[in-house]
Amino acid sequence: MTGGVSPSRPAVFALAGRGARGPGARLDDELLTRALALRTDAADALGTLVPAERGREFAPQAMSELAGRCVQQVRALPDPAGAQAELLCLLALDLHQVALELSQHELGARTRRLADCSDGLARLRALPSSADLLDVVCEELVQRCGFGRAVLSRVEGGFWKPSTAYFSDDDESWFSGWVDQGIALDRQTPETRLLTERRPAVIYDTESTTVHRPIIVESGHSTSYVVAPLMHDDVVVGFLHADHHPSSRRADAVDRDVLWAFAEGFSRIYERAVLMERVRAQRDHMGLILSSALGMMNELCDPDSSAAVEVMPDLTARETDVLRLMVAGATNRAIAERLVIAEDTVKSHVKHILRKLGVANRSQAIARAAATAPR
Amino acid sequence: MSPATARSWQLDVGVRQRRLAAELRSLATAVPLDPGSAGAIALAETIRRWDSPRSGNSSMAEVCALLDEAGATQAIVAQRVLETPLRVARRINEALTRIRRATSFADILRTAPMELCASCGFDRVLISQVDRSTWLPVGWHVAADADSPANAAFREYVRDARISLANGMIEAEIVRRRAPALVRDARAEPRTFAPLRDLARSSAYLVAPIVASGGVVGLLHADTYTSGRALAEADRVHLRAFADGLGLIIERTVLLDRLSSQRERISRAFATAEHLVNDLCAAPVQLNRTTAVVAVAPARADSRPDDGLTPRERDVIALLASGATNAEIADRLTVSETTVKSHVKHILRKLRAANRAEAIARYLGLARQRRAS
Repeated sequence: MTGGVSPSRPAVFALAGRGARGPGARLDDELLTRALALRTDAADALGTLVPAERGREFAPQAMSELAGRCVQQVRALPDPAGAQAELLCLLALDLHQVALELSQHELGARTRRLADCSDGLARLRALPSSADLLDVVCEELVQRCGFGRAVLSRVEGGFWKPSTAYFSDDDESWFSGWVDQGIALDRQTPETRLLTERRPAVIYDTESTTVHRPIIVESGHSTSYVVAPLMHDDVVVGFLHADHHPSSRRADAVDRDVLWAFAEGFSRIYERAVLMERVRAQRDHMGLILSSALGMMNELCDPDSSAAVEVMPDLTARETDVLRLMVAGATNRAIAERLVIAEDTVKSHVKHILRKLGVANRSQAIARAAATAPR
Repeated sequence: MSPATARSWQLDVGVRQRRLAAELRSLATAVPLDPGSAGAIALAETIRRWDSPRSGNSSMAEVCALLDEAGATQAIVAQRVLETPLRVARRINEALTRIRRATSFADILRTAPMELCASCGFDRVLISQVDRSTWLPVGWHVAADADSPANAAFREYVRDARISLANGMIEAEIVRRRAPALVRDARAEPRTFAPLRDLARSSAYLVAPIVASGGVVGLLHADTYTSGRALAEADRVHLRAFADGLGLIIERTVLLDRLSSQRERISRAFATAEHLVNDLCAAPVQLNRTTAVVAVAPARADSRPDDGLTPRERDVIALLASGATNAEIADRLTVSETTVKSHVKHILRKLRAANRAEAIARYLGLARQRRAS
C-alpha cells in the first residue's frame, strides 16, 4: 500500500452532499441565480411573463415552457433571421440548459430522499420491541423523509383509529382528542379506497376531494396529504398519513412514493419485531405451564406440605405460594426462580407473611405453618 | 448580417448544443433507465445528434428544430428520468413482496438475484453467504448473454469458491461497516478481490451487506456488464433498499422456522409425556421388584427415622422447628450459643440441608412420616 491520500477513492460508501437533505434541500445558489436572471431576460424578450404556479417558478418544466414561448415568438417574427430572432433562440437554448440542470438537481433530491428513507428504516430496525416501533415511527418519518407531520392509525373492523403522531411544529394538542376514535371507512374517501387498492394515494387538494373532513380539514387543517397502507399478509392493518404542514407546500407524487417505500419497509420491520416477540412469548408460556404442572405434581406427591398452608388465614394467594415453598425449604432465590418474580419481591412477600403470622423469623413461620397443618 | 456576427452566432449555438448534450448524458447515466425502452432510445439518439458538430451555417429553421427537439427531450426527462428513482423503489418493493412468498431459504436464494436484476436494472447479480471470515457465492443470475466466455468462466469459478474476508478487502469493510459500496473503477481499486474481478471482467460494481439476526449473513454483488451502463449513486441507494428488505425477509423465514420447530418440539414433548403417563396408568400392579421398592417404606415405618441424628441434635432441631433462635436454644439447653451453632452445622450436614429452613422442612417431613405410620 502506498502512503498518502489518493486524489479520489474509487469505492464510495456514503452518499455525496449529505449537507443538503430532503426535499427542502436548497438549490445551488449559482444555479438559482442563473435561473432567476434567465426568467428576467425572458420576461424582457417576451414582453409579458405568465406567472408560474407559486413554488413552481424554478421547476424544470416552467423553464422549458418559457423556452417554448421564445420559439413561438421567433416563428411569429416578421424577420425570422434577424438579431431579435437570434437573441430569442440563444435565450431558449440557455433556458433548456438550466431546465436540464434543475432536473439533475431534482433527480439528486429524489435519490437522497430514498436514501434517507433507508436510513430511517435502519434506525427503526435497531429498536428492540414492537411497542417502541409504534412510538417512534412517526417521528422517524418526519425527521428523515421530509414531511411536516405524520400520523399512524390502526385499521379495525371497518374503522380507522388514529394512534400515534409526530408534528414538527409541536402543536399536537388537537390530536390527543382523536386518539383511538373510530372513523368509519364507509364513504368514497381515499382511506376507504386504500383498503381494496392497497396502494398509497396523494390528495392534492382536500377542498376538492371527498375526505374525512372532521379530522383532516377541521382539526388537522391539512390542505394536501399522502396516505399509505400498512400491510400484513395482503391485509391492510394500518395507515400512515403525512403532509407538509405548517409549510404551505402541497403533497405530490414523489411524497406518495417516498411514503410508500417507507410504509413497505416499516411493515416488514414491524412483522419481524412481532415474530421475535412471539418466539420469546412461546418459550415463556411453556416455561410457566411446565413449572405449574410440576408444582401441582409435587403437591400431589407430598400432599401434607401443600395442605399445610391452605388453612393459614389472611394470606394472599401469592403469599400462600411463597409460604408453601418456604415450608419446603426453598431459599428466597429458589422461590424467586420458581414463581418467576424478583428476589426483592419474594423478600417483601416473606416480610408480609412474618407480620401476618405474628412471628419473628423464617423458622418460626415454617414451624407455625407446619403446626397448623391438619394432622 | 455581417460575417463576424454570423460566425459568433453559429459558434454560440454550437457551444450551447454540446452543453445540452453533456447535461443530458449525465442525467441519463444517473439513473438505471431500462435499456431498450422508448425513453432510453430517444435520449441516446438526441445525445448522439447534439454531440456531433453542426456543419457550416445553421439556418434559423434548423435552430428552431433543435429547440423543438430540446422541448420534447425535456418532456422525456420529466417523464422517464425524474420518475426513475421512485419507480425503481416501487419495483424493489414489489420484488420483495414476491420473494417474501418463498417458502424456503433455498427459494429465497434462488429468486433474489433474478428479482434484483429485474427491479434495479443490473445485468449480473451474485448472492453470497458470509460465514465468519469467509464468503461463499451461493447463487447468481445473469440477465443476458449468459453463455459468453466471461460469464461461463465466472460461473465456473464461483461454483465452489470460498473467499477469505481478508483485511483491507472491500467485502471485509462492508461486513464491518454494514453499508453498501460503489466501486466505480474496479481495475484501479486495490481493495477488490482481483481473481473474481478479472474473471468477471467487471469494470464497476456494487456490493451490499445482507443483515439478519443482528449480523451480516450475506453479500449482494451487482454490475452492468452486458449493457455497459455506468453505475451511479442511485444504484447504490437502490441496492441498499433491496438488501435491507431481503435481510428482513431472511430473518422472517428464520423466525417462522423457529416458531414452528418450537411448536413441534413442544407437542413432541407432550406426546411423550402423555404416552408415559398412559403407560403408567394402564400398568397392572404386580408384586415384583419394582413395586416392592414402594412397599419398603411402610415396612420399616415402626423403626425410627434413619436421620442419623444424636439425641442432643434431635433436641436442637426440635427447638429450631418451633421457631427458636440460637440464643433461645442455648438458654433452654443450657449450653453456649457456639455449641448450638456447632450442633446446627452437624444437623445441616446429616439432613443434607443447605440452610436452616430446609433442615426444618426435612425434619418436619420425617416427623410427619413417623406420625402417619
